[in-house]
Amino acid sequence: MKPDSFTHSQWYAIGRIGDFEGANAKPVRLLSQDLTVNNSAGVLSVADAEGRSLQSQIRYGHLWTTLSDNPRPLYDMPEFDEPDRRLVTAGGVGVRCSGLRCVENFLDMAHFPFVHTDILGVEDHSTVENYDVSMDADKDEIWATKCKFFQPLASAAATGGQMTEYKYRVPHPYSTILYKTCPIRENVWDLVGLFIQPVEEDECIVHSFILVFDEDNTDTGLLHFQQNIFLQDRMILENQVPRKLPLDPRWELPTRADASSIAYRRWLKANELQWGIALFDKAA
Amino acid sequence: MIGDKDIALWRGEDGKIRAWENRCPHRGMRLSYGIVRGNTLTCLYHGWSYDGTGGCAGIPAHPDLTPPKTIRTKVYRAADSGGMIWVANPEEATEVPAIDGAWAPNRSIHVDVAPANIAALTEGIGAELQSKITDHAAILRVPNIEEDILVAFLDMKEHGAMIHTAVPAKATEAVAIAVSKLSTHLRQVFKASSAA
Repeated sequence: MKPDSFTHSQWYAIGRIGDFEGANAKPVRLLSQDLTVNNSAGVLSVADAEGRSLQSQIRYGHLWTTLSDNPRPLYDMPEFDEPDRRLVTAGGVGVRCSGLRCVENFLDMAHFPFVHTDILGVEDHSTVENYDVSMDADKDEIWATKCKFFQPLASAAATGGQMTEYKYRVPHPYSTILYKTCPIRENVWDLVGLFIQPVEEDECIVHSFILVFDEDNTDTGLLHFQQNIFLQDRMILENQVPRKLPLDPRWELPTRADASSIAYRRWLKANELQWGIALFDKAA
Repeated sequence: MIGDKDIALWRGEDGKIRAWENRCPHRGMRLSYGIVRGNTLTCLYHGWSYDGTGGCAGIPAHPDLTPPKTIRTKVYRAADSGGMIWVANPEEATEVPAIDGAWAPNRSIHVDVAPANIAALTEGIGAELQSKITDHAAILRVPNIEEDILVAFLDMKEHGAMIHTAVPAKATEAVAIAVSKLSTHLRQVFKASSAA
């Protein structure tokens, strides 16, 4: 299937700058197309299989490209310009499912007690309180706010259980950012996010980052925390059937806790996104 | 797998065998990763639990909510007989195979290519058909093995096939070992390269 126009018109992260060091040319795959990242004395450029040059930019610690000649602007994250924050990038992790499933899993709090047991949740505190979901019509993005969840070990900097407050943002069909209570500073948010590179309709590479205030943990410590969480998620993601995201309500049944997932699926549908979507199969 | 259908098989505390579509109706997680507690199966992803009939019994995100009756897993028919587990489509009215006597399960092995039918399986084993049970199961007599054996195969289409064997419960250890060796040999008989 050819990518629909919503999918086609986006910018996609395809790796960190450092991932392209030491080689003149490196193959990458995006939206079922073979691309090449060329490194000419430290200057990165991207070309498609016919050698046509694609637009690219470096932002948020990653190299971004687009198949479109007239892409939508890449969303803003002003927090990347704030001093004292630490950026840790985890590199790409391949996942055998649609990247849309990864976004949906990231928005989900109800799985914390079962998938991230004793880290992001405990079975005794499984309730998901109502939270607000809204659309920012100007920016065409989704926000889930006033999310609260009891977490025994919310981050690498956490020292004990706490009621963590979350905000989730979906500014792009393949990007999502979590704003969570900073355990060591008042009135600021730590950011954790995913930049997903859709490789095929049912296969992706997840590039993740954390942008936090943390004076104690090493980069390696922060990275290990993040990787541990993500590998627990990957085991779920690779065992969801079907691998593409079903939008038809006859296929998967949500509950109240899934309000952000419901909004995300509705938003994808409203934007006529089709690439990576499972069509309803009556026989299944 | 049965044909191209992925099945989650589980047994509750009550001893009853259940075969369900291997997919949680909530977010599609394979139920075979779930946890059996008493007579319920709990999905690993969000902890949704399902009672023995496939109806949703609890949603941990909303402990006070009575799950709507519409949340149900797809349930296949499942039964124990002859030391094996038998599964059928819910709409099929066929009887559970009646197999005389007590049987002890022996081996379950994977082969690349499903036998075309019971005759092909019998020939592949080098046995003689005693009685056919279903289109996929029979009691066979194998030269040099002093007991009849029960053999069944499961066609999993592009995933190959499973061949299951059982021996009479009273069979000696020597018989059990001989049948086990025979089963291993079937991997060579129903190999991908010999399919043509």
